[in-house]
Amino acid sequence: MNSFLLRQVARGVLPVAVLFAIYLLLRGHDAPGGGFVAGLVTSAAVVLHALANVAPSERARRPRVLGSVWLGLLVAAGTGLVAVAAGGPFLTHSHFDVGSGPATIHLSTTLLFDVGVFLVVVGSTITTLAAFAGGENPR
Amino acid sequence: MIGLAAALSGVLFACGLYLLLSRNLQRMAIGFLLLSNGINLFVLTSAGLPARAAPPLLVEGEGASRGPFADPLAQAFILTAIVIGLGMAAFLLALSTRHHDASGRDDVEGDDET
Amino acid sequence: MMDSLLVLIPVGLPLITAALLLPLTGRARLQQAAALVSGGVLLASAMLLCARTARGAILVLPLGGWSPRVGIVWVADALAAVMLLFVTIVSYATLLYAGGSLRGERERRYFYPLHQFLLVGVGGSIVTGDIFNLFVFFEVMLLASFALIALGGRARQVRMGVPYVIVNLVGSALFLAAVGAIYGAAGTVNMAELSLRAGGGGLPGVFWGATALVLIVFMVKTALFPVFAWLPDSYPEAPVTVNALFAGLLTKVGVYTLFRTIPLLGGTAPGGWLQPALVAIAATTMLVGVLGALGRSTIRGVLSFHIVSQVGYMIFGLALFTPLALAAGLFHTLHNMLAKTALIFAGGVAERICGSGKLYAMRGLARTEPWLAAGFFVAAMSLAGMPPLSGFWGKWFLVAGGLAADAPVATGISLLVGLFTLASMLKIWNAVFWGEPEGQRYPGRGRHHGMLGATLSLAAMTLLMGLFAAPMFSHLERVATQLLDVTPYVAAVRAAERREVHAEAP
Repeated sequence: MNSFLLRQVARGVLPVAVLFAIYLLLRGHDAPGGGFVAGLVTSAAVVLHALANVAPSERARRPRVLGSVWLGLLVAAGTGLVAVAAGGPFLTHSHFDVGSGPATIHLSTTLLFDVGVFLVVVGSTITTLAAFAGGENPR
Repeated sequence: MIGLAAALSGVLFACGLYLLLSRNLQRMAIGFLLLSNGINLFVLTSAGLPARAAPPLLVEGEGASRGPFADPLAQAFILTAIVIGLGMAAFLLALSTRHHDASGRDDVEGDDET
Repeated sequence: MMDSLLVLIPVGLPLITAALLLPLTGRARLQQAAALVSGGVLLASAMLLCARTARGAILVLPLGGWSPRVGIVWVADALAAVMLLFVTIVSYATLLYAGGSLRGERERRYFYPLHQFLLVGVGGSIVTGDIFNLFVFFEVMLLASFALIALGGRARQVRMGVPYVIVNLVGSALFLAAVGAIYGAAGTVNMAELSLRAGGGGLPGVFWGATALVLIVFMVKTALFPVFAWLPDSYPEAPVTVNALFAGLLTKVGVYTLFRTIPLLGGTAPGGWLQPALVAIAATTMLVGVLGALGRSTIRGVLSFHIVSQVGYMIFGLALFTPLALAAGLFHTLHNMLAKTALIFAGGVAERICGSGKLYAMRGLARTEPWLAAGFFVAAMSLAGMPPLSGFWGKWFLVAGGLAADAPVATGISLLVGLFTLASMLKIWNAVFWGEPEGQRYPGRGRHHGMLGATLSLAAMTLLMGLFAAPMFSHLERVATQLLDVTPYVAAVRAAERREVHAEAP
């Protein structure tokens, strides 16, 4: 798709979408959001960007993001296994409060797990959608 | 609220089933998405929709005394089902592309052999 | 620790193997070797599990430390163990066979990882203790099977695969809706807890309606009359290896879930209509399946339609609800997993040699390929119920169970269907193996050690199962007794809850 309007829109949307995804990722433990939806938002923006800016013949080339699926799985499984090593059931999470008074930040290991989910979702969604965008022979 | 959700889920179900019965693979994919959304809504509804329910989070010191809260297990079911539905939808779309590549058409013709 | 590992391996090991196989895409031999190693470990662990549960022990693994009412538990009892053992045997034979049978780049690239994902789904459906996870593992199994059935990517394959996909998608959707309704009505989806509540009475009608829906969905997965029509057209179109894998595993998982849930939930159903209905369904399924098979004109077409008929026998055993008949149904299920897979293996090799699966397109395979013919003959006679093969004992016990449970009509039908099955097998034998050799266009193609070895070892196993029918059957009778008396199962799952709570107290 070679459209000036789409290119401009995609250029604007990408940073905003990524920021929004980070926001969703960070608030995900206690409020609506989380790694899954953040990953979807990011990959939607990336795919829109690709549709606008990448020539059709290039799109079928397998993007090199499958590594992020592996990394994500490793991170997510790793956070679960840390709990097992500490003697709890798989995927037990710990919470910390950093700072004091009004500047307190609530942190939890679920954030790490969510980052893992985020990486898996981004990697697999972009791979799948790129396969479709190629037209011929999705692999 | 429950009546509305039940009616909506019924409508989604009916539309989804109608589209699934079509011969066109892309219509089937859309039908499946509608159907799975209808089912997810149904699961959420059947676990109960208490009015003004709080999110299922326990706040330290407050205990469980904050009145009705939404059922987290039903939400976990639905979250799982959504992810599965995503995979199924991806498969259906891949199937329709492959069918289009292999036969040059969108619809699945009837059985011409037997 | 050992016990938890034994319950984890049937799901965990294939999952890890699948993840390891994915980066090896394109190196089919290496993938096959890795899958065979993993399959060997799986086989060993299934044997250990059988030994561990043989005396009635029930292993329960609560995941995540929640109480079983809301959390995930995996349970392995004697039934799950013996099913897992035969699943592993069939899947191992399929891996051996796949080396020579897969055709084309796509099949070689993607078969092995998808095979492992299918195993994850099958293993998970067997060990899961709650119906929601049963749904999840069904979906894993389905997604893998969808990809496998369309693996060749030919237009005809896709076209014949579509009914399979759509019927199973709608089935799964209804299953999820029913799970939701059951959770809403009973407050849990754990099978042991549900059994307890169902037995206690006082559950609303919604619960029983949803349970009936669940049973209907299982009937779809099992391909029982009247919801079997998705099977006979789609299976023969899949690649041979995939066809054999599905014939050996998929409908049998449906059978297993019926064996698992009906004693737990249906035994206490109001009205007492379930048992006669099941007997009628089983008898009709046997008859319709065998008659449908008579009308098919390709080797694998006939064999695939026979799956439907054989499933009827298994459910007939379940429907009678006595330990004897239940054990007979189980025996028949296990026998059928071996015999049916061997038959489709042999049919696939014949198809390769002839270049077509049509009956009467070639003749005289018994002269040119005696080993293949021997494998086919043993498995076919076993399916038709000739002594001393396993199929004979399966039918023998079923007839004994049927007469003892006072169901003469259905028992008579099962004998009649046996006769038709014999006719059907002889038809394939006459059309393909008997007579002077002719029409064998690619004679060298059948001589592959993996394909022949897999066919012959499964055929040999049905012979062994026939020769050692007595000890095997007495074990299955213990399994059936354990299955019918649900109290130990329920108690074991609930004890896991108390243990967890206790462990968390300090």
